[in-house]
Amino acid sequence: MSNTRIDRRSLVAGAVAASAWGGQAASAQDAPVRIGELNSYSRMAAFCLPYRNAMQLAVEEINAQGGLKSLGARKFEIVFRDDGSTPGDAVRAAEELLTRENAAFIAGGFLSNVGLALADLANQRKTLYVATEPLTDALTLAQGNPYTFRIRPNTYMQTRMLVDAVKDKGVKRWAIVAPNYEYGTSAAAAFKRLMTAAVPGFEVVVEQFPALGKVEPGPVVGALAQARPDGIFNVLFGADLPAFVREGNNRGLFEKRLVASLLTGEPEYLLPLGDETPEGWIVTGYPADQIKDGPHGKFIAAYTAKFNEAPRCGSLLGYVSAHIMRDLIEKAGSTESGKLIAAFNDATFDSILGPIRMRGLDHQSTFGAWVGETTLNGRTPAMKNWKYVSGEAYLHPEDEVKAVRKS
Amino acid sequence: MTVLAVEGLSKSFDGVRAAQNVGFTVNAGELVALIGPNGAGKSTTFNMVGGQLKPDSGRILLDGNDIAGLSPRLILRRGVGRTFQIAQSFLSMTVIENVQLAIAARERETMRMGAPLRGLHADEAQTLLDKVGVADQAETLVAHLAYADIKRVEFALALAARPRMLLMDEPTAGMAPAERKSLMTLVATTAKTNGAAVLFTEHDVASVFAHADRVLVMARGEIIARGAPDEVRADPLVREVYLGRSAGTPGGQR
Amino acid sequence: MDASFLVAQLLTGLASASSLFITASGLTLVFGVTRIVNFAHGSLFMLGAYLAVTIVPRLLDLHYSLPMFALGALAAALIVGLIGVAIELILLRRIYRAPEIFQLLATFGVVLVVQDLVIRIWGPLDILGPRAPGVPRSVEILGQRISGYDLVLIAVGPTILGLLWLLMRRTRFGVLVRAATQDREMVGALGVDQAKLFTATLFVGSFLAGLGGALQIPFKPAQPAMDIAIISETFVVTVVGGMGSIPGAFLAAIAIGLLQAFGALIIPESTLVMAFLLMAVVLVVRPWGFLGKPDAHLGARTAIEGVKSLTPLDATGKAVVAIALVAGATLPLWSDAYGLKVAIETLCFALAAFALNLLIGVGGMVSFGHAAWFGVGAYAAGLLTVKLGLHMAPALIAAPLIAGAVAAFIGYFIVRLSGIYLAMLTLAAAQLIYALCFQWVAVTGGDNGVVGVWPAEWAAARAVYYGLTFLLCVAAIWLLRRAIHAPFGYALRGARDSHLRAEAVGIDVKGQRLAAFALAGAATGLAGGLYAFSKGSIDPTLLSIPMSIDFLAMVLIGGVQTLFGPVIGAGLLHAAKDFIMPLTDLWRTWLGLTIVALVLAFPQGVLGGLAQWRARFARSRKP
Ligand SMILES: Nc1ncnc2c1ncn2[C@@H]1O[C@H](COP(=O)(O)OP(=O)(O)O)[C@@H](O)[C@H]1O
Ligand SMILES: [Mg+2]
Repeated sequence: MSNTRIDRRSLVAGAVAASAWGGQAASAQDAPVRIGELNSYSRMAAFCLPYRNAMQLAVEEINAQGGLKSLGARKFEIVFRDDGSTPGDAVRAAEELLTRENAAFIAGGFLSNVGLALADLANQRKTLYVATEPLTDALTLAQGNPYTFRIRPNTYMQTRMLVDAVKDKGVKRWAIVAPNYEYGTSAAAAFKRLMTAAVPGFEVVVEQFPALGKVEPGPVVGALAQARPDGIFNVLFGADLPAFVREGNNRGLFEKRLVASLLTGEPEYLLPLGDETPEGWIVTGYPADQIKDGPHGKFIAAYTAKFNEAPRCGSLLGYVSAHIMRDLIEKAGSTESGKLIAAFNDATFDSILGPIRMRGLDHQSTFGAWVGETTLNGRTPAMKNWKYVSGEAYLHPEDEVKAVRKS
Repeated sequence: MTVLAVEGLSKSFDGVRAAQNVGFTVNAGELVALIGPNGAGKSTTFNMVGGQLKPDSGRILLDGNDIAGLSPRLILRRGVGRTFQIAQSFLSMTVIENVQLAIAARERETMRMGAPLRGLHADEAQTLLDKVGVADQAETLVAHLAYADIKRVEFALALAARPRMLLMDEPTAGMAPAERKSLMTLVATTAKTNGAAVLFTEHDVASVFAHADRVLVMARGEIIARGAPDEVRADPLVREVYLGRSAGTPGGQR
Repeated sequence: MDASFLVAQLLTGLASASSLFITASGLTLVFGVTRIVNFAHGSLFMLGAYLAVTIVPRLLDLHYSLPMFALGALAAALIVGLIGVAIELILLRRIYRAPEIFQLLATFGVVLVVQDLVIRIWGPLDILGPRAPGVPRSVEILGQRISGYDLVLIAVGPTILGLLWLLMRRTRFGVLVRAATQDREMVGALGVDQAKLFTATLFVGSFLAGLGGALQIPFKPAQPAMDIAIISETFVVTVVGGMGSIPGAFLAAIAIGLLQAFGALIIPESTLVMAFLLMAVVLVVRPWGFLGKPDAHLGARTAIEGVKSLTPLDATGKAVVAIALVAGATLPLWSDAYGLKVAIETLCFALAAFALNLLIGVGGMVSFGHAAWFGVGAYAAGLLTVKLGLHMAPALIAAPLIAGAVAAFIGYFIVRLSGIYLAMLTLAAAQLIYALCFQWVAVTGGDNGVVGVWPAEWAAARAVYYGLTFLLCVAAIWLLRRAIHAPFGYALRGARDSHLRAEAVGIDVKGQRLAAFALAGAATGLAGGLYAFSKGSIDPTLLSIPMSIDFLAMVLIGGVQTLFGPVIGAGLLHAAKDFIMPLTDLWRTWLGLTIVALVLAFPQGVLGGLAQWRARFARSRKP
């Protein structure tokens, strides 16, 4: 099944590449408006391929609706490039998109270091960069710049959503396990800071920072269990997560303990858990399988019909981001960086999630997340008791932003 | 004048006593042959004198100073040049480059990163090549030379150090008899004209007795006989060793 | 911490060790016999895991029992063994005459292809395998709960060790393997069919890799990045245990398993460096590992054929260089901004590759960690400008000086080794520097790196920065080339040709090599500094293993026998990457296939091949 899906995708990619090849000379009034999208399609395929699928779906819809109306119905086009998962490759690909492909601006990025490098490139070249996925707080705080805007709720916001969900459960003794890199350590730091403020007597009894992608589940679970925490804050994801969960289940690590787990409800990370999925972890995620109504339900239906699988978290982000970028150009009525940026600040966009605001202070959108609990639906992992939480109430406090942000 | 004096030199490998209590002297302008069957410990002795091996015990006096255990480099700087039983030359370079490099090394110029080696010490190198008889192959890669010629290059490399003490481990191995003779004659005249001391090993008994001033006989790591060629030839112990060889254990392999 | 907890931690550590050993034993076996540093071993491991998560559940549907589980794992391992045989027959066999290091590059091509292949076949989602039937989820020991499967693994590792021991002692294959491990030439001399022996060895080695992958599915998912995760650890086990020694690999795996299990209790972040730290220490203190032989030839054997006689450029060569220089100098006139960008990067890589060939081709020192100097140069330049507010010019002066100094310091330990041990120590050193940049967040910005490393005002224009890069890289390459033609380069080459002779004519071999390390480090540091300013940021990927492999690939593809081969290699590889990446999602496959094709077509490297071809042509024209 997955075979045919990929075949089609590479065909599409080939077509896009081919059209990019031939269409270089045309930059006339009726030429499409191009956006350069960079992402880790090969190395982070689980997230990025659904992301790109949804973007392509959105582009089709947008053009079917008549393209960019404020620009005389010019077509809306996204050119995709693999960012090689390194800042070096990403910056080169971005340059190619901006110079050879005439991209109006750039978007994408999955890894935080790639996101930061692209942001800095955008700042240097005075071009808009729509950072769709990179989660690092730095992107909108200390290393934020006038040209960079982020869509997804950042590490701090998602951590804070979880803290809100667990702070009144009366659990004080916590263990923390996080991958040893910026995302993991900054999530752990945010959790400690927020919990200290919210829960009197909060203490961290053990911390484990295994190398990303190389978790040895036995020793990690042993170390956590030994400290006898009452709660566990988990930041492991990807391949580390199933290993950790199974070992923890084997050894009863999660029995009678409250577990708060970042991103675990996202289908990308939840589905591989299979029937190993623990009951009642409090997670952020995306219950795509259970949303039926409204425009969001329609998107899910359309996506499922087109790609033969339910959308992933990446799909949602790709779809919403593409529409935000369309709306942005419509608002600006131009593809000039200055106008785009002016139009982006404090703009509110209608989306399938409801209104999303781009806060002008730090260029962080209020795109939210679902907070709920993990459960098993038969043998399929799922979320339950979930609710959509807008990012609005979880943005970084304004004074904190002002203290660290330089521009 | 004694150039090299070796006293009580011993070396064993995992219990195999390769050299035991070896002692001898070599004087300036003198050719001393170290002979003995394969595995007798000749190369081991050479390698201790040249610094390639550290002796377990004993002294190696060069002009009265103990050089035992010094690095080959420092030993070279004190005036010891050598050839190896299995030729060791710079195979990726031409004949003349080999010698130029050896001269440059002697002159402590190996950290120079500017002017190319090509023009450096070319005359001196050419003279040495003339002397050992490979001048017409100066621009040939050593890797492409016949083995006999590589042996000559070895000799030139040893001479490049302007040694007062020459160690030559089987300098003529693999050569035709006529070539052997001419090389050994060359070694002899070089030693006489430069006043250098020469210690050499040789399998070819004829050339040993033709060229050596004195002969040392080694077997099983020990020196079993020594003296003028004629005395040694007459020594019953030596005859036993060599008779044993001719009697059917080829090459003295044990 | 009570004793029962320590026992539990010990047991889980032993279980990890056992699992690691199974995979590493295959690598050490293959290395011992063929001397191939098989990068694809991790890929075979990954294929084992993927095949197992496919096969085992189907078998368990038929009959839910432990034997069925074992059967599935063995079937997966068997298929992987056959894949290993295919790799040997189709690829490696054609290039056994090429320098051994070349085979490493071929296997790296395979790594790239397999990475795409598993995503195409199995999809991008991680797949957790079934539990082993009949094995209790957990067992209570001294009041501590331990995974039942851990106990299975603890038993399997020594069992495999025992079986391998029997294979080595009781079969003709084993006798030959041991003989070949000690002296490859001897086996050839004994009239053994070497090709068959190699094929069989690759089968057994790949089988073990596959088995290692298959046996880990009950506790770790099959996922598309597991090849890279395992390969560095198996390298470490192989080296620490002693290359070619299976019992040594067993001990080393235990050492690493325990270090990971207990190290993380003391410093939670330590798992990142623990293995490489161990490897570095072992190589410095006891280069041949726990149970390897301090056998000179094993170390020296991988010394590769390098640069031969240096002749001044002939007319054709001069013309080519002149054209290249003119084309390069006038590039801003006829290329767009993006072309300049790519050219800047290519120049940086060309300089780094040229410097690497000073070590490999001239010095006979194969470095697996060349990215370290590139990264140190980039970090020096970046941190000095961003954190200390230095201008670009002084930062670009400091970059080579600092990189050279670091290379000299680390080189001190490295130049005492040779061959594969030297290569592995460069790898370990590079990984330690990587870990430092990764972990020292306050200064280096950790994995996010540091941004804002842009050229000074006067060089901000793309064409100006290109001009600067062109000037500096060409000048540095010219200076290096001069040094190679000077007594310095000859002495370095002399040390490579014959260590004995070099010392005997008065060359300080270690000193010479150390100077070469510092020089190459400095030149590469300059390249890194220039690269950092062209990218605007620094981050740990600049000194990661893939970057080191890129440099190695450039040198080998261009040709180690020629001075300018690496420059060509840098151009080719970067152009290929730049051309292929936008075209397809499967760019890794195409890049891998390109590498494999180049390796097969030009076993002497592209420039080496051309030179040979020219020589043959010239000869055939002579009467
Ligand atoms: N590096 C070494 N390791 C172990 N044994 C050695 C080594 N070198 C020489 N031997 C042993 O020492 C003995 C003397 O060898 P050698 O000095 O080479 O003899 P010769 O040069 O007289 O033929 C032999 O038994 C040889 O096997
Ligand atoms: Mg000998």
